[in-house]
Amino acid sequence: MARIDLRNIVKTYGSHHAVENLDMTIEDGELLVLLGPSGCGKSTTMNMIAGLTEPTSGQILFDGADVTSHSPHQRNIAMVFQSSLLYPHLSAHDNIYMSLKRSGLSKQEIEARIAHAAQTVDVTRLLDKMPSQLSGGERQRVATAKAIVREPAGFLLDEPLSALDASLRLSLRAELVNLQKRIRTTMIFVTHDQVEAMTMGDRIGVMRKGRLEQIGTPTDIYNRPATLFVAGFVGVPPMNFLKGTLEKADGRLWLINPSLRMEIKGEFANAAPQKEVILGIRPHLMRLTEAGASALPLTVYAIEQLGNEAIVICDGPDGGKIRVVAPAGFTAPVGARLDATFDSAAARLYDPASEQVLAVGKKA
Amino acid sequence: MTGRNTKTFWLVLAVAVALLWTFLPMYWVVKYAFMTKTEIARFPPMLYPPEPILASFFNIFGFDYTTAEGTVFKASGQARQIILGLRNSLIVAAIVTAITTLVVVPLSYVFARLQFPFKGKLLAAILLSVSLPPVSTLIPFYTLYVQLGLTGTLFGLIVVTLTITIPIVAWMLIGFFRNLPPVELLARVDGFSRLYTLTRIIVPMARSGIMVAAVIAFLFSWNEYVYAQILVTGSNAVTLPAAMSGFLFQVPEPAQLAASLLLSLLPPFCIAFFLQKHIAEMHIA
Repeated sequence: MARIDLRNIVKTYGSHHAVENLDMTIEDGELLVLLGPSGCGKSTTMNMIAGLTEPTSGQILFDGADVTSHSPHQRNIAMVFQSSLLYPHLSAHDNIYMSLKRSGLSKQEIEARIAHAAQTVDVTRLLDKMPSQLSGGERQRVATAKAIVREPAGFLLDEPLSALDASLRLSLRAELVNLQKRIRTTMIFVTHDQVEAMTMGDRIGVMRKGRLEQIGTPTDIYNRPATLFVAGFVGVPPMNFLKGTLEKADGRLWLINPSLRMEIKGEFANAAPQKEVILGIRPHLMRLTEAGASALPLTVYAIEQLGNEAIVICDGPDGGKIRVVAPAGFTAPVGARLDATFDSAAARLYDPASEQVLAVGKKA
Repeated sequence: MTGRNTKTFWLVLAVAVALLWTFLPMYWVVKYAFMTKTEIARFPPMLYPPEPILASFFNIFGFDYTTAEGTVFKASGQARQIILGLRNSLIVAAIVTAITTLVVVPLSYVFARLQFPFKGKLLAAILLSVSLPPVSTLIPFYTLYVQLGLTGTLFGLIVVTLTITIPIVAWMLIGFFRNLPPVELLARVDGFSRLYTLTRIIVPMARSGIMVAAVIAFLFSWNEYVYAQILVTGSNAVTLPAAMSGFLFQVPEPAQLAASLLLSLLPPFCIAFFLQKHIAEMHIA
């Protein structure tokens, strides 16, 4: 267990910047999820924390001690790789044993630790099997046992669940979170799946193009996305965006685009008038209504029935898709005209140029 | 005939042709090895030896053979060459196999798993040397060897055989190593050095591939004829293929030639038999 600090981490490959100026702290005993599309630098970041990749510049501290030039083993980290990589020619027991081979512990101590780790993740009866005889979920558990047996300072997982089928992924997700809370280890989990990130993380670090876009609790990230990218990447169905300009008239603030003139309420005090903006609003905060002055004219494109609700996917006035959550069983023919409204105070305004948030409707 | 039956028919036909192609010449050789010269000379040819006789096997090892009726089959004049050849072939093949394996395992590993400058060009160089027919380097090697005094020596033959086996086996093993899972990452996290990772993790994992690579090195060396014919024939370093070719330039002894051919088929046959499992595993991998 350790608190992990990243200070001004830069990693370049030739002229390609894999990670740019990353500052991040992972608290002791925390489960941090690094989330982002492929090539965003999240795996590179994890490999640098692990000590598998050396940063071009910057510092990595474990509990305040500089470990930047230490090997993975010296840092005492454990790692589960993609597809729960194991040594294919060794039994589950020997795979776990390899984690302690260089530990200098006595033979009895090692066997006791293996037995305990195996029990913790319920793989005792699998210890004699070869990796090829294990199912995907069993491999994942053995890989986890191999990691926790070391009692690591940091437990790193690089998309360990991505190769598994959906239902198995669901149960293993909960298992991992439960395990992390029980053994209270610092855990870093890399994934490109935002549902995985939302459900598992104490905090989520969203990365794009080598930069940390935002770091915060799942609720934070969902309710207060700091950038346009985070707003669009996190949340199912994804956030809706409307382009427009801000105008002040009659002492009130209006969002104006060719098909809409909508009053913007709430605490948009920082929003300067006449500025190009993008308004973001979650589909759950929109309602289908009668046509009206401040309603958004939509054309039905498709409807997804989810059982407890329906997602109406529409062509919006500016060409983008707008999703609205409707009651379960809602139907409308494709091409039908609908209108939607929302409480503008629940929306967020983003600057199209910097992609940063400009103003929020209400302080949450 | 339904589509399924047609398919089965062609499959059976293809297998039959392949079997015939492989086994017909072998059948002919086996048959000859157990016949006498006069039986072989008969027309139409006999389909099997009427009374299988081991005379040729005794003859090629330098022993006269007397039948129960008192007919004597004289020891072959090639016997000394055959015995020498058998011994030398085994020595050369064993040494070539050992050196090839020792050189090729680390070489292929480095090419398959590490990044370094000019890797692509060096890899192309290996492929190029695989694609060169041995005959094309025969004369340069010969003149070089004459000047160095290496003609007629086992050492010279081993060196020249290595130039064939190393590139081709490396080429094969590079592909095999490339397909192994990235366990180096696990090994680094577990605190193992690169050398330990190669010798104690990668090599055991790649056992099948390395075994098959060694067999291929052995077979290439065992079957090597072109260089041996030019560099060592008639010397004390003669190998079995070169020694056998001696039969072609003497009074025809087809039965003895067949017997020595059969002898030369024996080691590869045994190896293939005992390593079936690994060869199959290699295909799966």
